[in-house]
Amino acid sequence: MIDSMIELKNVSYTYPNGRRALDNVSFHAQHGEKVFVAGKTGSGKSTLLRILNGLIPGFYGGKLNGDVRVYGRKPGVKRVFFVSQHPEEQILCDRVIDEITFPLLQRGWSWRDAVSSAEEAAKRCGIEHLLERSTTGLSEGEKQLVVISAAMASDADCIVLDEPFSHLYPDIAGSILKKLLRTDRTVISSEHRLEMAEYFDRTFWLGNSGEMDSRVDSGIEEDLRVDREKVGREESSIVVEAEGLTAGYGEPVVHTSFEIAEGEIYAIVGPNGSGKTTLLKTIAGILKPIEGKIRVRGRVSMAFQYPNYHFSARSVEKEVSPEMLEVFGLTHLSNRHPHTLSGGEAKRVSIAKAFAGDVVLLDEPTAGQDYAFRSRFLRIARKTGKTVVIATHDLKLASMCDGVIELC
Amino acid sequence: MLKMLQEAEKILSPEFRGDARVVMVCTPALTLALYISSFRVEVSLLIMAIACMYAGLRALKAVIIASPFLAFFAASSLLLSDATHAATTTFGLASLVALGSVLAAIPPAELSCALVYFKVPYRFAFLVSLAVRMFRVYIRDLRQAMEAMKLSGERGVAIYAKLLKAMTSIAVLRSIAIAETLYSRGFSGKAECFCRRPSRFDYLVLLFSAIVLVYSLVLVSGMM
Repeated sequence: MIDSMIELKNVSYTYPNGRRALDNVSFHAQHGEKVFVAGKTGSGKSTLLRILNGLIPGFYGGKLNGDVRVYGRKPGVKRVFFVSQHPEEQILCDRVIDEITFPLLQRGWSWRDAVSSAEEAAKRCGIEHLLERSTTGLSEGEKQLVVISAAMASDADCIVLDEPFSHLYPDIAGSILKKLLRTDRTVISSEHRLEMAEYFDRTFWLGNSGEMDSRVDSGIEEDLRVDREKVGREESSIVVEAEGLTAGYGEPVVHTSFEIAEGEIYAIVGPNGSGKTTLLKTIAGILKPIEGKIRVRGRVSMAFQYPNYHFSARSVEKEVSPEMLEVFGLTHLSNRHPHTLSGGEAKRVSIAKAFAGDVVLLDEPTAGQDYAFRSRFLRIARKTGKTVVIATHDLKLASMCDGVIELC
Repeated sequence: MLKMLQEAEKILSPEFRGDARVVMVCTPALTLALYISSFRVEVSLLIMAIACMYAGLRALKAVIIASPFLAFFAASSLLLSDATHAATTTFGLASLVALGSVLAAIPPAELSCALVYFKVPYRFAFLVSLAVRMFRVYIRDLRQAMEAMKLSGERGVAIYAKLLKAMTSIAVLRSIAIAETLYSRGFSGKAECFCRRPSRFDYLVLLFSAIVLVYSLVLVSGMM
């Protein structure tokens, strides 16, 4: 019987560029234990998880001090399966079945056994219908399910997940998480949606504890309610108007009608593949409506899911106006190159940049963001007085908006 | 430009139903045939016909997308030679673009299996198929980056310089991420490859390509 199998004692880590990511951190997990890792953006969650399967320092280099033992040995990829937060960057094969079987084949499994295990895992994740599909045409959420299926199909003793559910609709994320936690393997997962912690045996905090974050959150909810009441609506102030709108990439995906007044914040919600991004792109004028009309008054700007599309300058201060950097609390990043920022920081900079427009469209702005920012975000948006449309899986955020457009 | 990128994405999406090994034999054979026949119109026409047989409308769409480049090539040829030569070489190049669309339509998995069949080590074959897959991802990245920049008010030639900077960084970041995934999946070069059985159509294309190559050789020997 294996016990107390994962242990980090007084671990400190510095990246090759000199950035210190972990400072004297100790962590342990028993075999079969389910641990939720929480912490603010930049607190070192991803670094900690990468240490567990040997990506740090094996792949990244840098200076690692302290003791790290995983199942009595040095960390390695054979016993720990790592799932990162960006599904697109984890897909190696063109067919879904090949993607799920790939790690198994690398470990010397026969094709027949690998396929059988892959089919079973795909069934548990509800993606058996995708097995023969090309990975190129999948949505971000579907890609994430494929990667999670690969983790489930693997024979690794421990599955480590770095914000694996940020692209998934809450219902789907919850159901997958329950299935994942039902296995007798060790599961260690980081996630900004703290409500998921209840499914785990315990929570490990990196940096500040969560109590402070929840207090901040409840206060802001109150503020937002008051702010919302102040916002009145006049017919003349309608800035986005969709009438019998049908949109899609050739095939119709979205059918909706709505009106958004100046200064209002609207959320677009719906399951994976329901057309949230498609609707945003139609409002932005990137896609033309298949049927119906869409009218937008003012300059539209948009923050895409992948923030790096927005950056071409050498420093953050050349990308975003000083006022917006101030409003979003990003002044400390002014001199950094935008492509060297962490995923969460890059996303915030791209959001701040999008606020240069009159009508601001944001695609999953809170995915991968810590609790404090998720709570602060709406207040900041309200403060700017701009019209904001948000496509999101974050139903709590949506409930605090002025209106919700539900897609199915 | 955005429309062109959207069309390019469609052409590069794998929707191929033929045998990758046959395409990998026919493509160099037909290119060689065109070269040794000195871009003869009938050889170009035959290559275009074979490309259309395999890839259908995709082959013609690829030519349409490449038309600005073809026009530039035609204009350059016209400056250096006469109109007939410019027209035949441009048409020859168009047929090669169409042939390229057949290659681009091969699913990466079948491409690596075909390479393994030709005794290329799997480790290398897999990396080739990964590069093909990533090329498609980069085309999509390019389109999305362009959309993002147009929305942020960028216009004119400046947008291309900014795109170049953004895409260079994105390509580097994506490459690092893919390398990380290969490492964390324990990539060891082990694989199971299955090639589909060539159909009658594949054999027909193979025969047709051989005839074109022989015809070009006969033309060359006749000229000598």
